[in-house]
Formats: sequence, C-alpha cells, structure tokens
Amino acid sequence: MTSDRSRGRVTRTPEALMLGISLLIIGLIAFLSYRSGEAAHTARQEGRITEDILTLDAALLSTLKDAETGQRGFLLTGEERYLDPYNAAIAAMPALLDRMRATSALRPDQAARFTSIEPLLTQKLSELKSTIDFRRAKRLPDAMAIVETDRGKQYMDEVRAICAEIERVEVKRRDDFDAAAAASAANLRRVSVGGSLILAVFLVLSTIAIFRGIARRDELFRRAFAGETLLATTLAGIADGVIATDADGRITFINPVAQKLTGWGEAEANGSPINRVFQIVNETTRLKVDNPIDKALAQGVVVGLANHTNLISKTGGEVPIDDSAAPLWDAQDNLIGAVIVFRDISARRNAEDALRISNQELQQFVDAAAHDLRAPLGTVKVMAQLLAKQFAQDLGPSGLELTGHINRGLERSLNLLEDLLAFARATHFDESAAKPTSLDAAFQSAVENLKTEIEASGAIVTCELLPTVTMDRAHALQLFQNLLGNALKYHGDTPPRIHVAVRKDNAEWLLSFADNGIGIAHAYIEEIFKPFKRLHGDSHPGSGIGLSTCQKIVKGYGGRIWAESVPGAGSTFFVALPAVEEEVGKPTAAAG
Amino acid sequence: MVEDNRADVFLIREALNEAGVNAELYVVPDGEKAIRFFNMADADDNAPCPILVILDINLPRKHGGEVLRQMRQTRKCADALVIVVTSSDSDQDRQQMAQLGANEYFRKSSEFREFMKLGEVVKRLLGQSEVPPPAP
Repeated sequence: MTSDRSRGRVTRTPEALMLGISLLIIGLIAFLSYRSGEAAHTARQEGRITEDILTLDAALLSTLKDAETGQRGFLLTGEERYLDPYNAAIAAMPALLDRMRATSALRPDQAARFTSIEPLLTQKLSELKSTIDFRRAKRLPDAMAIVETDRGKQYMDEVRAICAEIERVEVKRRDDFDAAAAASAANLRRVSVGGSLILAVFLVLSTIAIFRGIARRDELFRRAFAGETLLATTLAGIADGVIATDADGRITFINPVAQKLTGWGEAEANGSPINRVFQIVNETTRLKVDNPIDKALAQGVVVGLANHTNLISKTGGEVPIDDSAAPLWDAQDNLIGAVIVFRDISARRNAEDALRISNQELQQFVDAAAHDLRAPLGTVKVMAQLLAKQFAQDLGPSGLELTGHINRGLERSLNLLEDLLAFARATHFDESAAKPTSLDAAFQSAVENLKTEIEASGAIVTCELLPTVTMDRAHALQLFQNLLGNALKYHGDTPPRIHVAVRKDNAEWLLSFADNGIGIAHAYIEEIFKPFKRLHGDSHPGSGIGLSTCQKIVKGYGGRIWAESVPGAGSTFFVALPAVEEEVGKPTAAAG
Repeated sequence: MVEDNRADVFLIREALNEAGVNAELYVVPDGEKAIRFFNMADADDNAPCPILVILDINLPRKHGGEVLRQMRQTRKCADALVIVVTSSDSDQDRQQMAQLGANEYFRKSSEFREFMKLGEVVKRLLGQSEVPPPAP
C-alpha cells in the first residue's frame, strides 16, 4: 500500500511541472499580447499626431507660398485679381495658427519651434503687405526696394528650415514608435510560436498519460472484477460448505452449500453471529460443541472438529459433518476474521456404520466357523488315537499305520484351521480394541504358549525391555507367537538362539527378531509374506500363512515388516510400528 | 452330562473310566432338556439331582450359559459342581461361564492324552466336594 502511494506521487511530479510551465507560457503570451497591443496602439496614436503635424507643416508652407505667389503677380501686373491667392492665404492663416498652437501643446519638444515660426510668419506677411500697399499706391520702386532687401526670402528660408526640422523630428518619432511596435509584435510572435509548440508537446504527453491512466484503470477494474468473479464462482462451486466471518465472528460470506446445510439464506446469514447460524452438537451426548471459529479467532490457530459432530440446521434437521476452521490475516498480520469449511459426511457415516455391522457379522461368522469346524475334527482325532491304543492288537501294523495317517492328516487340518482363524482375526474388526498394549507382556505370553517347542529344541530366547504401543492385545500376542514360533521351527543343527531387540527410530519403534536358524534364500525374502507360500515340505510342517498374518497385523497399525537373512547363518525379522504419540484434542487413554 | 455330540459323550465316558471315576451318568442331549431335568428334580423329591454336571457350551435349543444360570436358581440343584467341557478357547466364554458359577473350565483337546486328563479333573473336583461319592 505504501509503495503504491509513493509511486503515485512520483508519477504526478512531472504532470504538475508540465501544468506549471503551461500556465507560465500562457501567462507570458497573454502579457506579451497586451504589451504588443499597447505598443501598436501608441504607435497609431502618435502616428496620427505626427500626420497632423506634417499636414500642418505642409499647409503652412503652401499657404505662405500662395501668399508670395499672389504678391508677385500683383507687383508685376498691378491687377487686383492676382491677389486672390494672397487673400485666400491671409484668410486661412489665423486658423492655421490656431491649429499650430493646439498641436504644440501635444508636442512639448516641438513647442519652441512652433513658437519661433509665429513671429517669422508675422514679419513675412507684414513685408508682403508693405509691398502690396506700395504697389497699390503706385509706388512700385518702394515696393521693389523692400523686395530687394531680400528680407522676405530670408524669412521664408527660416520658416522652411524650422518646418523641415519639425518634419524630421516627427518622422523620426513615428519611425521609432513603429519600430517599437514591430519589435513587440515580433517578440509576441516568437513567444507564441515557441510556447504553442511546447504546449502542443505537453498536450500530446498529457493525452498519452491520460489514455495510459484510463487503460490501466480499466485493466485494474477488469482484473479486480475477474478476481472477484473467480473467487465467487470457486467458492460457490466448491462441494464443501464455506462460511467466513469478521474478527467479531459475524458472517461476511456464506456459499450455497453452506446455505443448504445450515438452512440459512445468504441475506439473513450475512452479518449474523456465526454461533446462531452454525450450531453443532455431539452426536451421542447431544451437548453443544464449541464453535471452531471461536477458537480460531481466540487463539489464531487452525482448528479441526472432533469426530461425531452434528450440524443443527435452521429447521432443526441434523447432518453429521466434518470441518476445520482457520484464522484469516491481512498483509499486516492483523486478525481480520476466520473461515470454516465443512462437509456433509452422512454417506461416509452410513458406510462406516454398514462396515461396522458387516465386520461384526464377519467376526461372529468366523467364531462360529472356528468352533463348528474344530470341534468335530478334534473329536475324530482323539477317536483315531483311542482306536490305535485300544485296538492295537486287532488292527495290526497296517491298521496302525492307517490310523497314524488319519491322525497326522487331522492334525494338519486343525493347524491350518487355527492359522486361518488367526489370519482372519488379524483384520481390524474393532477399532476400540486398539489400546496401549505392553509388547513385553505379549512377549512373555508368547514364550509361555511356546513352552513345549522351546523345551523340545533347547532354545534360548532373550529379549530387551520392550515398549508399549497402541495395538489389540490379541494381535500383539499373535505377532510375537508367529515370529518366535517360526524362529523355533526353522532351526539348524544347533539349538535355536533367538534375540528380540528394540530401538526408537524417529516416530517408530523398530523391533528385530534375530535367530541362528537355517535362513532364507535371497530369492524368497519377500515371497515368504505371501499367503500359503511354503518353502518346506513335511520336514517343517506349517500352513504358510503365519507371516502373512504378521504382515496383515503390522500393516493394519500403519507399520512395516521385512526380513534379512544369510542362508545357513540365520534370519532377522524387522517390525516397524508407529510410536505412541499423545494426540492433540483427544483424551489420553489410561495406560494398562 | 449335557452334551449333544455322541462322539464326545463316548470320549468323556472313556476319560472317566480311565480315571476310575465310578458314577451313575445321566446324559441330556440339549439345553432345553437339561433345564427340564433340573426343574423336575425340584418338583419331585424322588427325582435325582446330580453331584456334578459336565456342561457343553454350544448346545442345541438352549445355550450352556443359560442352562447354568437356571440351574443355579433351582432350589435343589443350585449347589451342584459344574465343569464346562467345550472346544471353545475364547476368553469371553471362559469369563462368562466363570461369572455364572462354573467350577472348572476344560477345553476339549484334539490330543488323546490331553483329552483323557478330563477324568483326573473330575476326580479332583469330586474329591474336594463335601458330598461323599455314592457307594459303588
């Protein structure tokens, strides 16, 4: 989250810079536009005044020339009509003088020149008037004398010079203003063009950034939506019931399977406390069972539900369930809620019940078969022996051999029957029979049962202190009896020496039954655990299922059995059994 | 003797003879008849009541345990000695019969020598009994 925020700030810095520069450019263009406009306006205004002054200048000179022209014509002809231009000029003069005075107010720098023109004009006009007056009085020579003084020309030249000076100043002023306006305009043009280019670039960049932002946002929306849809369809489609709660145990999510099992609709369940919606009782005691979600929230651990728990639905119906609850953590390791997953195990429960009944029936059948088959066989065998004993004379050698065959056949049948029954009983008919069982006690019982064989063969059987494991007592006895019995049976020329050792290997007890017997050929080291696999004929009688029974028993408790052997030197049978671990959540069974 | 198998009756008789047990032997072939036998002894003062009962467990009509239970409830035969003779070696049968008041449990062996030991067991039980054996 933090990194996202800083990434956002980083990407916004150039954007802000671009915006600032854009505003600056626009401001500059606006300022320069204003300045340029002002300059043009000033140039126009000043230009008009200059124009007026130039016009005035020209008008003044031409009026003076008109007056001179009229005077000359009159002086030469003496005819009054030649005085028309002179008269018109004299009439126009006051207005011109007025305009000159008004203009000089606008041009302080030219005012002295305008002022200096006025007396020259007065003197010039008075000279002209004097000559005209002399001519009118027919005193032409006087008039000519005045003309010949050349003062009139001097006045005229002075006026011309002043007017030229005024014109020069004005033209220069107009050119200056025009140049300033042009410079301002050029400045504006440059800034406008340059700024516009920069703005255009910025606009393109901004547009790209905006489109990218929109695309990214759309992608995020799409992903978020896809993720949510996937999650929703997954949880909805899952075959197990799923309920999630917040940290206060209030429901935030309930999937369709959970709705069906609890009988609560999505709308009414959301926001409700989990303990109202998810009520569980023990199958047999009918007592309320603690909600696993409470424990998951309180301890922050994953919680599995104890067996034989029923879920009470809203309508009062009951379903056997299997479940587990887990706490939910956010990225900062804050507990934000919990989720419980559960499933209807009616089918499995029914199958288990059926299997249990079937197993019980099988057990009864096996017990009945054991009795009903063994009893008559045993009776017949005793009869055969009785016959041989009491009627030995009558039977003769052939008859006695016959009863011997009968006797041995029956003995084989009885042994086979015993072993078959043991093999059948090696099945785990009843889980409750698996209690902590002392292997030491099993060893002692087996030795007791094999007393005849041990004494007959002169065997020495030794044993380390053996542990207690979770096992049916009858199975433990059968296992020891078969393995010790085998070691006693397959001995060589020397009396059997059998040693039972044990060591703890990780979570297993590793038992070893070592003998000094005839051993097993390598090729048969695995074959011997298969039912009815016999390696010997009548020399070592046996049913061939003793080791199969051992394997069945050991495997039933999650263990392993195998053999190692050196033919002629002896065999060692190994039995690995899970060590008894105290299981969490289950009461520890009392030892013994 | 409560025993349905005639071969076993023959062998048990043989074992008793071999051990020199001299007794008047009544044989009842099923559980129901055995119970009737004890009830008759109760009803009729002249009817005999056995000193010792040789009882099989797996009997037709009535289970050996049931026979024993009812016998222990009769007035006259409640204290008779009982030796269970059966081919069953199950712990459950042993415990049940002991609880119902059997004095001895003898497993029918398929070995002639072992089977014949039944005679000695019966003789020992009778010897312990305070009731003297009937005169020959």
